[in-house]
Amino acid sequence: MNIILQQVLTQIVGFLLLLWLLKKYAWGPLLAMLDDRRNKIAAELTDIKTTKEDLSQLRADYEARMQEIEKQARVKVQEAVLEGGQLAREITTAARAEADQILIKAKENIDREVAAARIQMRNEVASLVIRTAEKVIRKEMNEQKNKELVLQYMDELK
Amino acid sequence: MEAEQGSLEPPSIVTVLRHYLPESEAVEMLHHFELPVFSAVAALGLVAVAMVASRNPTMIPGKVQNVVELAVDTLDQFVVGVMGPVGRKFTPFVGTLFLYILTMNLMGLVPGLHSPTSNINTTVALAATVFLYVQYTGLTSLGFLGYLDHLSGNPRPKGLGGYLICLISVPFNFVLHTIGEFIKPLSLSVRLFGNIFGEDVLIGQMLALGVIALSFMNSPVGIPLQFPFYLLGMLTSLIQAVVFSLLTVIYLFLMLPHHPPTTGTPAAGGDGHTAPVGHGGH
Repeated sequence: MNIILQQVLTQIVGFLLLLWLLKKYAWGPLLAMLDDRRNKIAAELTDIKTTKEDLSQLRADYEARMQEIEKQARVKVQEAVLEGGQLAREITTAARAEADQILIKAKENIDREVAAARIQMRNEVASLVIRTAEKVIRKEMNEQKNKELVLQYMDELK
Repeated sequence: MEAEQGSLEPPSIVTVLRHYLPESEAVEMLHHFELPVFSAVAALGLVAVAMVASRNPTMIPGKVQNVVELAVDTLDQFVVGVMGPVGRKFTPFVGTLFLYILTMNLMGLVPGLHSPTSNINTTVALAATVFLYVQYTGLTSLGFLGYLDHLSGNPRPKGLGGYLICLISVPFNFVLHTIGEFIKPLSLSVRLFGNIFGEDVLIGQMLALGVIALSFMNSPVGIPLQFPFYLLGMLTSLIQAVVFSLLTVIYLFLMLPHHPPTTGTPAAGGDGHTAPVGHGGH
Protein backbone atom coordinates (compact mmCIF):
# COMPACT_ATOMS: atom_id res chain seq x y z
CA MET A 1 0.00 0.00 0.00
CA ASN A 2 1.95 2.96 -1.25
CA ILE A 3 0.33 6.25 -0.43
CA ILE A 4 1.27 8.76 -3.10
CA LEU A 5 0.71 12.28 -1.82
CA GLN A 6 0.18 13.73 -5.29
CA GLN A 7 -2.60 11.25 -6.00
CA VAL A 8 -4.21 11.90 -2.64
CA LEU A 9 -4.17 15.66 -3.18
CA THR A 10 -5.45 15.27 -6.74
CA GLN A 11 -8.30 13.13 -5.45
CA ILE A 12 -9.11 15.69 -2.76
CA VAL A 13 -9.17 18.49 -5.34
CA GLY A 14 -11.29 16.32 -7.63
CA PHE A 15 -13.76 15.60 -4.85
CA LEU A 16 -13.99 19.26 -3.84
CA LEU A 17 -14.61 20.16 -7.48
CA LEU A 18 -17.33 17.51 -7.68
CA LEU A 19 -18.84 18.80 -4.43
CA TRP A 20 -18.92 22.34 -5.81
CA LEU A 21 -20.47 21.27 -9.10
CA LEU A 22 -23.07 19.01 -7.50
CA LYS A 23 -23.91 21.73 -4.97
CA LYS A 24 -24.45 24.11 -7.85
CA TYR A 25 -26.37 21.76 -10.15
CA ALA A 26 -28.00 19.19 -7.88
CA TRP A 27 -28.13 19.87 -4.19
CA GLY A 28 -28.91 23.59 -4.39
CA PRO A 29 -31.67 23.66 -7.02
CA LEU A 30 -33.14 20.25 -6.27
CA LEU A 31 -33.28 20.66 -2.49
CA ALA A 32 -34.84 24.10 -3.04
CA MET A 33 -37.30 22.52 -5.46
CA LEU A 34 -38.13 19.77 -2.98
CA ASP A 35 -38.65 22.35 -0.24
CA ASP A 36 -40.80 24.46 -2.55
CA ARG A 37 -42.86 21.43 -3.50
CA ARG A 38 -43.17 20.35 0.14
CA ASN A 39 -44.28 23.86 1.15
CA LYS A 40 -46.64 24.09 -1.80
CA ILE A 41 -48.22 20.73 -1.01
CA ALA A 42 -48.54 21.72 2.66
CA ALA A 43 -50.10 25.06 1.68
CA GLU A 44 -52.46 23.37 -0.77
CA LEU A 45 -53.46 20.79 1.81
CA THR A 46 -54.20 23.62 4.25
CA ASP A 47 -56.18 25.38 1.51
CA ILE A 48 -58.08 22.19 0.78
CA LYS A 49 -58.84 21.76 4.48
CA THR A 50 -60.00 25.38 4.75
CA THR A 51 -62.06 25.04 1.58
CA LYS A 52 -63.59 21.82 2.89
CA GLU A 53 -64.52 23.54 6.14
CA ASP A 54 -65.94 26.51 4.20
CA LEU A 55 -67.81 24.11 1.96
CA SER A 56 -69.33 22.19 4.85
CA GLN A 57 -70.25 25.51 6.49
CA LEU A 58 -71.77 26.67 3.20
CA ARG A 59 -73.63 23.40 2.87
CA ALA A 60 -75.00 23.70 6.41
CA ASP A 61 -76.07 27.30 5.63
CA TYR A 62 -77.62 26.16 2.36
CA GLU A 63 -79.50 23.34 4.02
CA ALA A 64 -80.72 25.65 6.79
CA ARG A 65 -81.82 28.19 4.17
CA MET A 66 -83.52 25.49 2.14
CA GLN A 67 -85.39 24.34 5.23
CA GLU A 68 -86.37 27.94 5.95
CA ILE A 69 -87.51 28.41 2.36
CA GLU A 70 -89.49 25.16 2.47
CA LYS A 71 -91.05 26.24 5.74
CA GLN A 72 -91.95 29.64 4.31
CA ALA A 73 -93.29 28.00 1.16
CA ARG A 74 -95.46 25.66 3.24
CA VAL A 75 -96.80 28.63 5.25
CA LYS A 76 -97.45 30.59 2.07
CA VAL A 77 -99.22 27.66 0.46
CA GLN A 78 -101.36 27.27 3.54
CA GLU A 79 -102.07 31.00 3.54
CA ALA A 80 -102.87 30.86 -0.17
CA VAL A 81 -105.20 27.92 0.40
CA LEU A 82 -106.92 29.77 3.21
CA GLU A 83 -107.07 32.96 1.16
CA GLY A 84 -108.37 31.02 -1.81
CA GLY A 85 -111.05 29.42 0.34
CA GLN A 86 -111.99 32.79 1.76
CA LEU A 87 -112.05 34.30 -1.71
CA ALA A 88 -114.13 31.43 -3.02
CA ARG A 89 -116.56 31.88 -0.18
CA GLU A 90 -116.72 35.63 -0.79
CA ILE A 91 -117.22 35.09 -4.51
CA THR A 92 -119.89 32.52 -3.82
CA THR A 93 -121.64 34.82 -1.38
CA ALA A 94 -121.40 37.77 -3.76
CA ALA A 95 -122.58 35.65 -6.65
CA ARG A 96 -125.39 34.33 -4.58
CA ALA A 97 -126.37 37.86 -3.49
CA GLU A 98 -126.12 39.10 -7.05
CA ALA A 99 -128.19 36.17 -8.24
CA ASP A 100 -130.75 36.91 -5.59
CA GLN A 101 -130.77 40.54 -6.64
CA ILE A 102 -131.15 39.54 -10.26
CA LEU A 103 -133.91 37.14 -9.28
CA ILE A 104 -135.72 39.75 -7.25
CA LYS A 105 -135.30 42.29 -10.02
CA ALA A 106 -136.49 39.78 -12.55
CA LYS A 107 -139.47 38.95 -10.38
CA GLU A 108 -140.27 42.61 -10.01
CA ASN A 109 -139.93 43.10 -13.73
CA ILE A 110 -142.08 40.09 -14.37
CA ASP A 111 -144.65 41.29 -11.89
CA ARG A 112 -144.55 44.75 -13.38
CA GLU A 113 -144.82 43.42 -16.87
CA VAL A 114 -147.55 41.01 -15.80
CA ALA A 115 -149.42 43.88 -14.20
CA ALA A 116 -148.90 46.07 -17.23
CA ALA A 117 -149.92 43.21 -19.49
CA ARG A 118 -152.96 42.61 -17.38
CA ILE A 119 -153.90 46.25 -17.52
CA GLN A 120 -153.28 46.33 -21.22
CA MET A 121 -155.11 43.08 -21.69
CA ARG A 122 -157.93 44.30 -19.53
CA ASN A 123 -158.11 47.48 -21.52
CA GLU A 124 -157.93 45.61 -24.79
CA VAL A 125 -160.47 43.03 -23.64
CA ALA A 126 -162.65 45.82 -22.41
CA SER A 127 -162.35 47.63 -25.67
CA LEU A 128 -162.92 44.40 -27.55
CA VAL A 129 -165.88 43.53 -25.45
CA ILE A 130 -167.21 46.96 -25.77
CA ARG A 131 -166.77 46.95 -29.48
CA THR A 132 -168.31 43.51 -29.72
CA ALA A 133 -171.06 44.29 -27.35
CA GLU A 134 -171.62 47.60 -29.01
CA LYS A 135 -172.12 45.86 -32.25
CA VAL A 136 -174.44 43.40 -30.63
CA ILE A 137 -176.54 45.66 -28.49
CA ARG A 138 -175.99 49.05 -30.13
CA LYS A 139 -179.54 49.78 -30.24
CA GLU A 140 -180.55 48.95 -26.69
CA MET A 141 -177.91 50.56 -24.48
CA ASN A 142 -176.10 53.78 -24.25
CA GLU A 143 -172.46 54.14 -23.90
CA GLN A 144 -172.41 54.88 -20.21
CA LYS A 145 -174.34 51.88 -19.25
CA ASN A 146 -172.33 49.68 -21.43
CA LYS A 147 -169.11 50.75 -19.78
CA GLU A 148 -170.52 50.04 -16.35
CA LEU A 149 -171.59 46.64 -17.41
CA VAL A 150 -168.22 45.87 -18.86
CA LEU A 151 -166.36 47.03 -15.78
CA GLN A 152 -168.63 44.98 -13.64
CA TYR A 153 -167.89 42.07 -15.83
CA MET A 154 -164.20 42.68 -15.58
CA ASP A 155 -164.33 42.83 -11.85
CA GLU A 156 -166.04 39.55 -11.82
CA LEU A 157 -163.30 38.17 -13.98
CA LYS A 158 -160.61 39.01 -11.45
CA MET B 1 1.72 -1.96 -5.82
CA GLU B 2 -0.27 -0.90 -8.87
CA ALA B 3 1.24 -3.70 -10.95
CA GLU B 4 0.31 -6.21 -8.27
CA GLN B 5 -3.25 -4.90 -8.08
CA GLY B 6 -3.45 -4.92 -11.88
CA SER B 7 -2.70 -8.60 -11.93
CA LEU B 8 -5.23 -9.44 -9.21
CA GLU B 9 -8.18 -7.31 -10.28
CA PRO B 10 -10.08 -7.61 -13.58
CA PRO B 11 -8.18 -5.74 -16.31
CA SER B 12 -9.41 -2.26 -17.13
CA ILE B 13 -9.51 -0.72 -20.62
CA VAL B 14 -6.25 1.08 -19.81
CA THR B 15 -4.55 -2.21 -18.90
CA VAL B 16 -5.77 -3.78 -22.15
CA LEU B 17 -4.58 -0.79 -24.22
CA ARG B 18 -1.22 -0.90 -22.49
CA HIS B 19 -0.95 -4.60 -23.27
CA TYR B 20 -1.66 -4.11 -26.99
CA LEU B 21 0.06 -0.70 -27.38
CA PRO B 22 3.08 -0.88 -25.09
CA GLU B 23 4.97 1.76 -27.03
CA SER B 24 2.21 4.41 -27.05
CA GLU B 25 3.05 7.42 -24.90
CA ALA B 26 -0.60 8.43 -24.67
CA VAL B 27 -1.52 5.02 -23.29
CA GLU B 28 1.41 5.18 -20.91
CA MET B 29 0.25 8.59 -19.68
CA LEU B 30 -3.29 7.26 -19.34
CA HIS B 31 -1.93 4.37 -17.31
CA HIS B 32 0.02 6.77 -15.12
CA PHE B 33 -3.14 8.79 -14.44
CA GLU B 34 -5.48 5.79 -14.41
CA LEU B 35 -6.79 6.46 -10.93
CA PRO B 36 -7.62 10.18 -11.43
CA VAL B 37 -9.03 9.39 -14.87
CA PHE B 38 -11.49 6.82 -13.55
CA SER B 39 -12.34 9.11 -10.61
CA ALA B 40 -12.98 11.89 -13.11
CA VAL B 41 -15.21 9.57 -15.15
CA ALA B 42 -17.30 8.90 -12.03
CA ALA B 43 -17.41 12.61 -11.14
CA LEU B 44 -18.27 13.70 -14.68
CA GLY B 45 -21.02 11.08 -14.86
CA LEU B 46 -22.55 12.41 -11.65
CA VAL B 47 -22.23 16.03 -12.81
CA ALA B 48 -23.80 15.18 -16.18
CA VAL B 49 -26.78 13.48 -14.54
CA ALA B 50 -27.15 16.39 -12.09
CA MET B 51 -27.04 18.94 -14.91
CA VAL B 52 -29.60 17.04 -16.98
CA ALA B 53 -31.88 16.70 -13.95
CA SER B 54 -31.63 20.33 -12.88
CA ARG B 55 -31.50 21.95 -16.33
CA ASN B 56 -35.22 22.81 -16.31
CA PRO B 57 -36.48 21.81 -12.90
CA THR B 58 -40.26 21.68 -12.84
CA MET B 59 -42.84 21.18 -10.12
CA ILE B 60 -44.03 18.06 -11.96
CA PRO B 61 -40.71 16.27 -12.51
CA GLY B 62 -39.64 14.30 -15.58
CA LYS B 63 -38.03 10.86 -15.41
CA VAL B 64 -34.43 11.98 -14.80
CA GLN B 65 -35.45 14.74 -12.39
CA ASN B 66 -37.64 12.26 -10.55
CA VAL B 67 -34.82 9.75 -10.07
CA VAL B 68 -32.33 12.42 -9.00
CA GLU B 69 -34.87 14.05 -6.69
CA LEU B 70 -35.52 10.65 -5.12
CA ALA B 71 -31.78 10.25 -4.47
CA VAL B 72 -31.44 13.81 -3.17
CA ASP B 73 -34.47 13.52 -0.92
CA THR B 74 -33.45 10.08 0.40
CA LEU B 75 -29.96 11.33 1.26
CA ASP B 76 -31.38 14.48 2.83
CA GLN B 77 -33.74 12.39 4.98
CA PHE B 78 -30.80 10.12 5.85
CA VAL B 79 -28.64 13.02 7.11
CA VAL B 80 -31.47 14.96 8.75
CA GLY B 81 -32.75 11.72 10.32
CA VAL B 82 -29.43 11.24 12.12
CA MET B 83 -28.50 14.85 12.90
CA GLY B 84 -31.87 16.55 13.13
CA PRO B 85 -32.79 19.76 11.26
CA VAL B 86 -29.21 21.05 11.60
CA GLY B 87 -28.14 18.21 9.30
CA ARG B 88 -29.57 19.96 6.23
CA LYS B 89 -26.41 22.05 5.77
CA PHE B 90 -24.31 18.85 5.72
CA THR B 91 -26.53 17.08 3.17
CA PRO B 92 -24.57 18.26 0.09
CA PHE B 93 -21.24 17.10 1.53
CA VAL B 94 -22.46 13.73 2.79
CA GLY B 95 -24.71 13.17 -0.23
CA THR B 96 -21.91 13.91 -2.68
CA LEU B 97 -19.59 11.64 -0.73
CA PHE B 98 -22.14 8.82 -0.84
CA LEU B 99 -22.90 9.13 -4.55
CA TYR B 100 -19.22 9.49 -5.47
CA ILE B 101 -18.15 6.45 -3.42
CA LEU B 102 -21.09 4.35 -4.66
CA THR B 103 -20.34 5.21 -8.30
CA MET B 104 -16.63 4.47 -7.89
CA ASN B 105 -17.38 1.20 -6.07
CA LEU B 106 -19.76 0.07 -8.81
CA MET B 107 -17.31 1.00 -11.57
CA GLY B 108 -15.25 -2.06 -10.65
CA LEU B 109 -18.16 -4.28 -11.69
CA VAL B 110 -18.33 -2.79 -15.20
CA PRO B 111 -16.00 -4.63 -17.61
CA GLY B 112 -13.25 -2.30 -18.82
CA LEU B 113 -13.59 0.09 -15.89
CA HIS B 114 -11.73 0.14 -12.63
CA SER B 115 -12.85 0.98 -9.07
CA PRO B 116 -10.85 4.00 -7.90
CA THR B 117 -11.87 3.05 -4.35
CA SER B 118 -9.90 -0.19 -4.64
CA ASN B 119 -6.83 2.04 -4.43
CA ILE B 120 -5.75 3.28 -1.01
CA ASN B 121 -4.89 6.74 -2.38
CA THR B 122 -8.55 7.42 -3.24
CA THR B 123 -9.90 6.24 0.09
CA VAL B 124 -7.19 8.14 2.00
CA ALA B 125 -8.09 11.27 0.04
CA LEU B 126 -11.77 10.88 0.88
CA ALA B 127 -11.09 10.10 4.54
CA ALA B 128 -8.70 13.08 4.77
CA THR B 129 -11.40 15.33 3.30
CA VAL B 130 -13.85 14.04 5.91
CA PHE B 131 -11.29 14.52 8.68
CA LEU B 132 -10.56 18.11 7.63
CA TYR B 133 -14.24 18.93 7.24
CA VAL B 134 -15.10 17.43 10.66
CA GLN B 135 -12.32 19.44 12.35
CA TYR B 136 -13.39 22.59 10.47
CA THR B 137 -17.00 22.02 11.60
CA GLY B 138 -15.81 21.56 15.19
CA LEU B 139 -13.71 24.72 15.13
CA THR B 140 -16.45 26.87 13.55
CA SER B 141 -19.32 25.54 15.66
CA LEU B 142 -17.53 25.26 19.04
CA GLY B 143 -14.85 27.96 18.71
CA PHE B 144 -11.16 27.28 19.33
CA LEU B 145 -11.48 26.98 23.10
CA GLY B 146 -14.68 24.98 22.80
CA TYR B 147 -12.90 22.69 20.35
CA LEU B 148 -10.06 22.12 22.84
CA ASP B 149 -12.63 21.68 25.60
CA HIS B 150 -14.40 19.11 23.42
CA LEU B 151 -11.15 17.20 22.96
CA SER B 152 -10.52 17.38 26.71
CA GLY B 153 -13.66 15.49 27.56
CA ASN B 154 -16.51 17.94 28.04
CA PRO B 155 -18.82 17.61 29.99
CA ARG B 156 -17.00 16.91 33.21
CA PRO B 157 -18.31 16.10 36.70
CA LYS B 158 -19.15 19.05 38.95
CA GLY B 159 -17.94 19.87 42.45
CA LEU B 160 -14.63 19.31 44.20
CA GLY B 161 -14.57 15.63 43.35
CA GLY B 162 -15.21 16.45 39.72
CA TYR B 163 -12.40 19.03 39.76
CA LEU B 164 -9.97 16.46 41.15
CA ILE B 165 -11.06 13.92 38.55
CA CYS B 166 -10.56 16.56 35.82
CA LEU B 167 -6.98 17.16 36.92
CA ILE B 168 -6.21 13.57 36.07
CA SER B 169 -8.66 12.91 33.23
CA VAL B 170 -8.30 16.04 31.08
CA PRO B 171 -4.73 15.44 29.87
CA PHE B 172 -5.51 11.79 29.41
CA ASN B 173 -8.75 12.57 27.53
CA PHE B 174 -7.08 15.17 25.36
CA VAL B 175 -4.43 12.73 24.16
CA LEU B 176 -6.94 9.92 23.75
CA HIS B 177 -9.44 12.03 21.79
CA THR B 178 -6.76 13.57 19.63
CA ILE B 179 -5.52 10.10 18.71
CA GLY B 180 -9.16 9.08 18.20
CA GLU B 181 -9.69 11.90 15.71
CA PHE B 182 -6.74 10.64 13.65
CA ILE B 183 -7.84 7.03 13.94
CA LYS B 184 -11.22 7.87 12.41
CA PRO B 185 -9.95 8.70 8.88
CA LEU B 186 -7.57 5.76 9.09
CA SER B 187 -10.42 3.35 9.83
CA LEU B 188 -12.62 4.98 7.18
CA SER B 189 -10.00 4.69 4.44
CA VAL B 190 -8.76 1.20 5.26
CA ARG B 191 -12.27 -0.22 5.61
CA LEU B 192 -13.42 1.12 2.25
CA PHE B 193 -10.20 0.20 0.46
CA GLY B 194 -10.09 -3.29 1.99
CA ASN B 195 -13.69 -4.15 1.12
CA ILE B 196 -13.65 -2.85 -2.44
CA PHE B 197 -10.18 -4.11 -3.22
CA GLY B 198 -11.12 -7.52 -1.78
CA GLU B 199 -14.31 -7.57 -3.82
CA ASP B 200 -12.48 -6.65 -7.04
CA VAL B 201 -9.73 -9.18 -6.39
CA LEU B 202 -12.35 -11.85 -5.79
CA ILE B 203 -14.05 -11.02 -9.08
CA GLY B 204 -10.69 -10.91 -10.88
CA GLN B 205 -9.65 -14.29 -9.49
CA MET B 206 -13.00 -15.89 -10.31
CA LEU B 207 -12.71 -14.45 -13.82
CA ALA B 208 -9.24 -15.95 -14.21
CA LEU B 209 -10.42 -19.27 -12.79
CA GLY B 210 -13.32 -19.36 -15.25
CA VAL B 211 -10.94 -18.77 -18.17
CA ILE B 212 -8.46 -21.38 -16.92
CA ALA B 213 -11.29 -23.92 -16.46
CA LEU B 214 -11.93 -23.99 -20.22
CA SER B 215 -8.40 -23.31 -21.39
CA PHE B 216 -7.81 -26.99 -22.27
CA MET B 217 -10.47 -26.54 -25.00
CA ASN B 218 -8.83 -23.34 -26.31
CA SER B 219 -12.23 -21.67 -25.73
CA PRO B 220 -12.23 -17.91 -26.30
CA VAL B 221 -14.86 -17.56 -23.52
CA GLY B 222 -14.46 -18.96 -20.02
CA ILE B 223 -17.06 -20.00 -17.46
CA PRO B 224 -18.51 -16.84 -15.87
CA LEU B 225 -17.64 -17.89 -12.35
CA GLN B 226 -17.40 -14.26 -11.33
CA PHE B 227 -21.13 -13.67 -11.90
CA PRO B 228 -22.39 -14.50 -8.35
CA PHE B 229 -19.72 -12.18 -6.99
CA TYR B 230 -21.08 -9.33 -9.12
CA LEU B 231 -24.26 -9.55 -7.07
CA LEU B 232 -22.21 -9.67 -3.88
CA GLY B 233 -20.14 -6.77 -5.21
CA MET B 234 -23.24 -4.66 -5.79
CA LEU B 235 -24.32 -5.26 -2.21
CA THR B 236 -20.84 -4.57 -0.82
CA SER B 237 -20.52 -1.39 -2.89
CA LEU B 238 -23.78 -0.06 -1.50
CA ILE B 239 -23.04 -1.11 2.07
CA GLN B 240 -19.56 0.43 2.03
CA ALA B 241 -20.90 3.71 0.63
CA VAL B 242 -23.58 3.77 3.33
CA VAL B 243 -21.09 2.92 6.09
CA PHE B 244 -18.62 5.60 4.99
CA SER B 245 -21.40 8.23 4.75
CA LEU B 246 -23.06 7.19 8.01
CA LEU B 247 -19.79 7.36 9.91
CA THR B 248 -19.12 10.77 8.38
CA VAL B 249 -22.53 11.96 9.59
CA ILE B 250 -21.86 10.59 13.06
CA TYR B 251 -18.41 12.23 13.23
CA LEU B 252 -19.94 15.55 12.18
CA PHE B 253 -22.77 15.18 14.67
CA LEU B 254 -20.36 14.42 17.53
CA MET B 255 -18.40 17.55 16.70
CA LEU B 256 -21.46 19.82 17.00
CA PRO B 257 -22.40 21.47 20.32
CA HIS B 258 -24.41 19.02 22.35
CA HIS B 259 -27.43 19.79 24.46
CA PRO B 260 -28.56 17.68 27.41
CA PRO B 261 -31.23 15.22 26.31
CA THR B 262 -34.79 15.93 27.33
CA THR B 263 -36.11 13.37 29.81
CA GLY B 264 -37.25 10.15 28.27
CA THR B 265 -36.77 11.14 24.64
CA PRO B 266 -34.49 9.12 22.38
CA ALA B 267 -31.81 10.69 20.17
CA ALA B 268 -32.68 12.07 16.74
CA GLY B 269 -30.69 9.27 15.16
CA GLY B 270 -33.35 6.78 16.03
CA ASP B 271 -30.70 4.16 16.79
CA GLY B 272 -32.11 3.43 20.21
CA HIS B 273 -29.35 5.28 22.06
CA THR B 274 -29.80 8.46 24.01
CA ALA B 275 -28.50 11.67 22.49
CA PRO B 276 -24.75 11.96 22.98
CA VAL B 277 -23.66 14.52 25.54
CA GLY B 278 -20.13 15.81 25.35
CA HIS B 279 -17.93 12.91 24.33
CA GLY B 280 -20.52 10.24 24.72
CA GLY B 281 -19.74 8.95 21.26
CA HIS B 282 -15.97 8.59 21.73
